[in-house]
Amino acid sequence: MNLNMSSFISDDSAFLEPNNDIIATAMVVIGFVVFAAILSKTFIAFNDNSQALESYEQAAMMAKDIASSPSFQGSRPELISAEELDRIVDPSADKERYMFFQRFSPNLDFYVEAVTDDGNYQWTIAEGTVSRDGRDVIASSIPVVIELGSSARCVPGTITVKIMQNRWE
Amino acid sequence: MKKRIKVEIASFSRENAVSQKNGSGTFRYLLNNTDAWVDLILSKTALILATVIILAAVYGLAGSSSDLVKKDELEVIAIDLASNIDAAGSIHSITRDGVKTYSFDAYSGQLIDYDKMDISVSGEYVVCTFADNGHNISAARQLSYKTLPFSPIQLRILLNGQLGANGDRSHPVNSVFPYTDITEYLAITATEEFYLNTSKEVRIERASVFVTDGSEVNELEYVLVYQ
Repeated sequence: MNLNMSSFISDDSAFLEPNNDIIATAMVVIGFVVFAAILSKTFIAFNDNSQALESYEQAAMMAKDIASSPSFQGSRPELISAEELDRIVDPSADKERYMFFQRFSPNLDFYVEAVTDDGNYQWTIAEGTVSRDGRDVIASSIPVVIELGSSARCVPGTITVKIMQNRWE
Repeated sequence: MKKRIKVEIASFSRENAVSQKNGSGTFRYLLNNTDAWVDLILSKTALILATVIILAAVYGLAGSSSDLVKKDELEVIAIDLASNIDAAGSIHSITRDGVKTYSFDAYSGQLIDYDKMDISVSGEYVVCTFADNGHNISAARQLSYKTLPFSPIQLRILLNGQLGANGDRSHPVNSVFPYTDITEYLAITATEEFYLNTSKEVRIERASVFVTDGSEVNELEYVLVYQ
């Protein structure tokens, strides 16, 4: 059988003709399936994003709350005291850390990081051990001024709240 | 010309008559027939079936999208209440000693009928459930602060009944660090959902439970939600 282009075009035995509606239907079905798949993918992405945004808002609210917490207050209300941070991250200060975290819902798995912008000082406040492998981390930071020592030396820094969440599987 | 057609019709009807007499003729007639009407019927049936399936799928998609819109509305209601409760729990809340009120009328739903909706608060979640033609749509939102669905009086009565002191500033509860007897008792009692009446306003306030180990007094903070 000679299968070159001209024989294909000039062929008038209409071997495709009786089935062309089935081919058309198949294409419509495939198109619809692809459309539905794209739609559901988009929805899943949108849902994930809105979930992340919600958690971010929660983290932002907590960061704001922690930054203005009286337990970290320095010599002036807008300052964060490095001494207080040192005290709370001390391994023996279980009670201080407990009192710091007791207001928050036990369902939230989170920890707080305070760093100076020059990177010289870093404090991590966590109750117990927070495992983060295989989990989504949602973080929110706010800028603060950290008062170092009693010499009233103030440096810019950030307080970051990191919330750990189990992924949707 | 007319004569020829007549002859052909006559021969056709004679053939038909003969084949019908033979019995197996119908089958042979089907085999010899080249009009392709079986093919036509089959492909048209397939087309109709495919159309019905695609229409049903599109209809289902449209139906589920209206469910999604309802779920979105429920989520907005749950988030609104939960963020109000969370705001009361944060340090700079204005309701340090006062009571904050929240009413559901602030949000006018378009698809959600408040009468068919159940909204409940427990120690951990705000859950909205809407009964929509036999199936339930729900939305839940986690709370950031320790929350108790009790009124201040209920809280004091509970503490007094279980721990022998009502936990206010002048009657702190005797407990040693890490106060698990108090926190666990309150967490377990708060797991029961408290269903809110959407036509009444919700009262949100902060409450402290004072604990003492004999030498120092500490304050455990809670957010109370009641009506």
